[in-house]
Amino acid sequence: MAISAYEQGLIKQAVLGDEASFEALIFSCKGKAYSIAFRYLGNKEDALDALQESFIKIYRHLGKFNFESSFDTWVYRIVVNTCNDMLKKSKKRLETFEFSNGKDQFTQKEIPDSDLLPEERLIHKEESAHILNCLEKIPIEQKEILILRDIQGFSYEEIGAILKCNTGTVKSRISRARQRLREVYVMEQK
Amino acid sequence: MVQLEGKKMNCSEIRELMPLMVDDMLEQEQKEMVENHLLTCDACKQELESHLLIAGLLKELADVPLPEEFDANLRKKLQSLKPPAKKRNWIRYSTLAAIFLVGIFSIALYNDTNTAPVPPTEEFGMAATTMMTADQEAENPTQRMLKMAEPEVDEELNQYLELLEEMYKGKTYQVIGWTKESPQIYRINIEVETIMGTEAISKEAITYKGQDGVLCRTE
Repeated sequence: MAISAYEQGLIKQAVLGDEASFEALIFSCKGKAYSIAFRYLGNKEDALDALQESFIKIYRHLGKFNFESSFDTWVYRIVVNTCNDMLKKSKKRLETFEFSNGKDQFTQKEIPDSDLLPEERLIHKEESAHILNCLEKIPIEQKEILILRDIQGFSYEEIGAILKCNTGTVKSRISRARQRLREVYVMEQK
Repeated sequence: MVQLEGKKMNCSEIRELMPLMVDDMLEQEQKEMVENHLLTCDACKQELESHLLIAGLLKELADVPLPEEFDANLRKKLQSLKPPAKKRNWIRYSTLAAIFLVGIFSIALYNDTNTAPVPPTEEFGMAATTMMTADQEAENPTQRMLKMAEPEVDEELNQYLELLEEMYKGKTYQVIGWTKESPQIYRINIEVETIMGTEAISKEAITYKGQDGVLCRTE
């Protein structure tokens, strides 16, 4: 993928330790990166930790960027990997893998209201909360692909570049993930 | 049920294709099969509607705005990554220096048939009248070499060493030494250990060249 001369220049300066160049480099992708981490980990504190850890890794290993993908794609890949690492370490997912016993598990979870966006609270509170709850109940690999495709809107090709797999694999993962999420959604509604 | 070249899909097969209908990612022929099936199958039609509903709900989960404090915190953290290199890396470099110099000392000891005269203790700030045992005498040349050969520490070299750490994560390797050929070019020699089978250990000496932020293996 082509990378602009401007970005190349920023990368070169950042490799030499210029923090301002690094901040300019990440300006366009940090918002989306945070959004990915937030949806992945479910709360602001963990998402901020993951994001900072990701950018520190990127800063320290900028010399390893091989220009085979766009810089933003590389960032998102590292963020996804960092989130996966954090989940493995904390094993929080184990607490949320239990299927509903009829109670609304979302209200029992740790996500405070302050972590929901205003529109989620006021307009689509029940629906958004319900779908987020269902999302927490599918395997992390399936949640990951739905975050990238259905929430963040990456194309199949972009997802393939982020996750380093071909489009065929992306298709089959999306298919399985959507089927699984639908099963949970329908079951939760009963 | 419309048949295409004699092929007819049942509900189970149609449901397999439905998730990709959401993004219009089916082949044209598959898409037509699904659409034709849905004309006469309410159950599958409802299933597709639920897929579209769920995809819509996920899409409506807006981007979460980046908290304002993030930029300042990241800046602070980036700045904290650049302490005086010596202070940050004294453990690593003194350990590397010790390995390097113990090696030199061992060679020197092997080649030297006569015990080297103990240098004046004043050089190390020790009392001149201190009586030294054979062990203490043996330590002095090493201490002297450690002091004399304290490596020059800079950020660029440290970056290359960190790259090596990342590259050889999970593997056993040892930095044997390095040279600085010019202000921008470093040569770093490492030895990588690989376990062959159950007992044999293979060691491979590799040299890396670091230049302009890029680390390359050299032949």
